[in-house]
Amino acid sequence: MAQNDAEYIKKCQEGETEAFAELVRRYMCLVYAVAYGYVRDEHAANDMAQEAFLKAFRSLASLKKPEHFGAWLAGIVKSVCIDKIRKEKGRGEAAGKNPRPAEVSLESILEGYGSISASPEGDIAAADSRPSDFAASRDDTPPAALNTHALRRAVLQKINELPQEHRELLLLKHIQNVSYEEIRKMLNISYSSVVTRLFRARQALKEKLEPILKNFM
Amino acid sequence: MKRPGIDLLLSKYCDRETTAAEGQIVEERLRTDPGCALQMKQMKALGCVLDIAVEGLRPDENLLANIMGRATAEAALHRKPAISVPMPSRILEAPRPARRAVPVWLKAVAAAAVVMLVALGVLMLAVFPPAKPAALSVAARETHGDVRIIAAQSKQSRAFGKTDVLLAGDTVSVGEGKADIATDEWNCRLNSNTAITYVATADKSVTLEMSGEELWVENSVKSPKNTLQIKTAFGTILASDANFDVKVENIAVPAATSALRNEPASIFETCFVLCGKVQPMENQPSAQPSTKPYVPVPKQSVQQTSPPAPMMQNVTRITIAVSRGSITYVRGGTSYTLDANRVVQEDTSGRFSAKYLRAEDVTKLLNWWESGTVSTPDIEALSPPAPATNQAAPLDNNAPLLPEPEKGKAAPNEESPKGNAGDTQGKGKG
Repeated sequence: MAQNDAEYIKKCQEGETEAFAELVRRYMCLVYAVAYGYVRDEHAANDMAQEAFLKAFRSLASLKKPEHFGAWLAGIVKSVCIDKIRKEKGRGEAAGKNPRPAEVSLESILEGYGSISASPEGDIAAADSRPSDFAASRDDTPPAALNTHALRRAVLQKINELPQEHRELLLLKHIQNVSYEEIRKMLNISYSSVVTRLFRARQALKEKLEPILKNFM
Repeated sequence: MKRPGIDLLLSKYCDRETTAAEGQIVEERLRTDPGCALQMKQMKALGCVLDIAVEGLRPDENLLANIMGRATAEAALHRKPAISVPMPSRILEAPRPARRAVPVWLKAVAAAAVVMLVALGVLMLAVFPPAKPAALSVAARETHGDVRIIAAQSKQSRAFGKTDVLLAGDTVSVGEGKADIATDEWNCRLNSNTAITYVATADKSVTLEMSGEELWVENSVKSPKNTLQIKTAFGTILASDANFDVKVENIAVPAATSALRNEPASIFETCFVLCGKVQPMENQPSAQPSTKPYVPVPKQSVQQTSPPAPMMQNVTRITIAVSRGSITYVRGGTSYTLDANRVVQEDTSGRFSAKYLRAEDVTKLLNWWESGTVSTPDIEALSPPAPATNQAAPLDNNAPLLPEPEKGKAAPNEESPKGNAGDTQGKGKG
C-alpha cells in the first residue's frame, strides 16, 4: 500500500488533483477515527477530517518521505484537532459553557431486563473456540437488549471518557480494523505500546461497561 | 505466565495478532484456566459492544466530494502558469525604459475601429440569428413537462400531522417467518418493472401529492437473531402520470422515513404496497427495460378490500403501510419485536404470535422508540386489545390502528401458537 501511496503522492505533487482523491478515499476512515478520538463528536470529526485533508493537500509538496504519509497525515489531523479544541476551550471558558452531552445511564438501557447468565457448562467451551474476529463474534452472541440507539450512545460516551491515547487506538482498531503494525506506523509509537495501550483501553472500558457486557456474554 | 502477561496476549489473540507460539500458549491457558476463559469471554463481549457502538462512526458521505471540491478550487487558484519563461536576472534588474507616448490620432483610429467591429457584429446577429442548440431545447422541454420535479416539490412541501406517522398496518405474513423475504422479493420485482402513481393524503382530501414514486429496497442486513431485516424507503420518483390511475385512501405516510434519516440499519422501515392498479414500466418510453418477469403480489402481502386479483393490473386499490420502526430484543430464547402497533413474539422454533395494541399504547411505543428506552414491565403493562372493529382507522388516535383479529382466531396471516396476547406476557417472563 505504501508503494501505491507513494505513486499517488508523486502524482499529486506533480499537480494531479485527482490522485489526491484516491488518497482521501484510502485514509478517510482512519483520519475520521483519529479526529473523533480527539473531538468526540461525529460532526466535528467530519469537519476536522476535511480540514486535515485540505491542510495535507496544501503541504503535500513538502512531504519528503511518501512512505510515511499515514503518520504524517495523522500528525496533521492531531494538530488540526488540538487547534480546534484550544479554540473551543477558549470560547467555552469565555462564555462559561459546558459542552458535555447529557449522560445516558447504563441502567436505563438495561432496566427491566436483568442479566442473562450463560449456561455454566458452555463457558469454557465457548471461550475455547478461537474468535475469527470481534465482528464475527457479534452474530454468535445475540445480545439481551438490542436497544441499539441507546446502547450506542452509552458506549460512545464511555469511550469518550477514556484517555485520548486509549480512545484513539480503540477507534482505529474497531472502526477500520487496522493492524497493530499499521497503527504503530500511523501513530509513530512502538509495537509494544500499541499492544499495551490497546489492552489497557479495553480493560478500562470493560470496567465501565460491566453491566452491559453481562448481557452480551 | 503471570496474569498481566497472559491478559496482554489475550488482547492480542482477540485481534489475531499473536504469533503461532503465543497462540498456543493462549489456547492452552483457555483450556486449563477458567479465569482466562472468562477474560476471553469478556473481551469478546466488549468487541461485540464496541462494534455496535462504532458501526455508525463513519465519515460523512459527502466528505470526499467536499474535500475534492475545495482542493480543486484551491489548486485552480494557485495554479502556476503552464509555461514559465525563465527571466535572466540581468533583464529584471535592468532599468525600465521610458514609455513611448502614443499619438492622439492613433488612439482615435483604434477606438473607431472597435466601435465599427461591434456594430458589424450586432448587425450580423440581427440578420442571421443563431440556431438554438438542439440539446438545450430538448432539456428545456423535458424539464418543463417533468412530473418528477412537480412531485418532488409537492413531497417536500407536504405538511404532516401527528397522526401521519401512525399507519394503516401491515398484514404481511409474519406468521410464516417469511415476511421480509417475501417483501424483499416483491419489492425487487416491483422496482424492476413497475412504477406506481398514487394519491395520498391523511385527511382524505384527495389531491395528487406524488407521482410514480418508486419503492426500493435500499438495504438488507442480517440481524443478530439471523432474520433478514429489510430497510426500504420512499425514494426516487420514476414515471409520468400518463399510464397510471390509482388512488390510495386512508394512508398516512411519514414525512421522512428512518432510512432517509440514516438511522441505524438494525431499526428498519418497511414499506408495503399491498395492491394496486399499476402498469408495467415497459409501457413507458423513459423507463429502463425490464429484465425480470412481471409477478403478482404475494397473497400474504395484500390487504384485500376486493376479491384477490391474480395480477396487479387488475387490483383496484393500493394500500401502503409503513412501519414506524421496530425495537427488537431477545430474552430467554424468545425475541420480541415491537412494531408500530403490536408486539410480535417469536420463539426459538420460529413461531410467531402478535398482540395488537390500542392507539394510546402505540403512542407509548413511539415514545419509547423516540427515547430509545423500553423495558419488559413496560411491554407487559400494555393495555389489552380494544374491542374488535372492522374499520381500520389509522388517523384516529382513539381507535386501534389495525382491525383486530377475532377472538379465538389468529390474526390474519399470523400463526398464534399459544392462542392470544396473553402468551406475550407469559413468555416475556421466561
